[in-house]
Amino acid sequence: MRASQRSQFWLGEVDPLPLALYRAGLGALLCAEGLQRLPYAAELFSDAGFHRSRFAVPVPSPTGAYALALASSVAAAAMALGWRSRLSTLAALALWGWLYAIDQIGEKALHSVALVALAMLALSDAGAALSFDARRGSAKAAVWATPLRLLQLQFAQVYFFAGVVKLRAPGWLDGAVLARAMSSRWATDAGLWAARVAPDAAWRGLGRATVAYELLAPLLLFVPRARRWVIAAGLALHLGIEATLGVGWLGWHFMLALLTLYPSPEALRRALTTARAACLPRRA
Amino acid sequence: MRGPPLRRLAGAALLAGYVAAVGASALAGPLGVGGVAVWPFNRAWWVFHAESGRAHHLRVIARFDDGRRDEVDLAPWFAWPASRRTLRFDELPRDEGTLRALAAWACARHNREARAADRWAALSVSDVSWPHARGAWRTLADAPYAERREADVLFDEPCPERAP
Repeated sequence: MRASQRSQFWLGEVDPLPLALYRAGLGALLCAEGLQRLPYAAELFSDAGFHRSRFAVPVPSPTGAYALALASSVAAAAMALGWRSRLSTLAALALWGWLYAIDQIGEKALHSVALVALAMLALSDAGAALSFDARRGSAKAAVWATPLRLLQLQFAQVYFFAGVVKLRAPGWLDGAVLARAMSSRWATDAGLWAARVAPDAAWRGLGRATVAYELLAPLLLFVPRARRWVIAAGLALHLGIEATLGVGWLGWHFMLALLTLYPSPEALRRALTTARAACLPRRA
Repeated sequence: MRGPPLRRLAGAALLAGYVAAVGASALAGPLGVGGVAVWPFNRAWWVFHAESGRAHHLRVIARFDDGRRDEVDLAPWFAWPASRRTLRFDELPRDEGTLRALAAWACARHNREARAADRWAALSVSDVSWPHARGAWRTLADAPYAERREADVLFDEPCPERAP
């Protein structure tokens, strides 16, 4: 890649479709998570619940907490639909950041990953396609590439350094950590079953395959010829985790990123056309 | 499709800042300067990196004015499922500061509504753990007594409004 091509790749302009699809998917995931937490808002986010937070943020009353949790879902839904995309993304970032800062006990990696992604998305013109904004005349053929590259780097670096940490952690390469996790409080019924029937050699193989994927995928995702296989392997990895361990929507977020942020816009457009043809009734 | 020069400059600054933040976080651990790690870019690196093979439960025992002791069920105040099999209080760090704050909060919440005879004078908090059974979820009640471990963190921590 020549210097001008490199500069264009990182700093130039790109088709808005990958960012638009990612925006819609992340908005939907956040909206669902917000609605799931809504019945527990008094415990999680109000001054009636127990909190230990390192952030000095105001903690609302139970009524305020319900309103805050509902507002976070509404902002995420607006983001998914692309209604005032940048504003709704910024609102979602502010509201989710506030909720995150209050409930540090229930805080999980999936929340901090979502906050980083929202901040990067807020920089982008993700509403330039597949949105109400685009229908109202804000459609663009090309948008700033840097937010897309930042998002690609973010997911790639999480894979890579998670792989490095596992490589150094005792019990990962021999499968012991994975086997134990399948009997832990996170395990689903399928995970418990897998822990019962799978031999140690299978856990060893899966542990090593996971570490290998996490170390190699961040590089191979940027190699066009390898990309589709890396995405397919990543989907298999995350579907396996979602089936066996209750890690919330972390895996769905990573699958969304793999499916929207890394394929070429042409491949995404072909996939959308195929999906539309399969879903919509044929015209006579 | 090069884009405006100012935006290209902003993009270069953002990318450089991002790489610096992630790079500093990556090097912080090995160099022994963990404080340099930049939240939240590295938060997801440690998901499932370790698993002890033991389940944990936070046990709270209340002491009443008349000297009675009874185990406290915190579950009604912590309904959110923090994991598939634990509630939010079971996920708390086991340091004294956190558990002292929990004890004060639980005392205040209980004593506000309890009858005078049922008010708590003090709380003791301990961490109970037991080993997993491979391929089956084992509750504390299922775990053989010999395999349980209990670590006391607070003993008879006075309820705040009754502290001298």
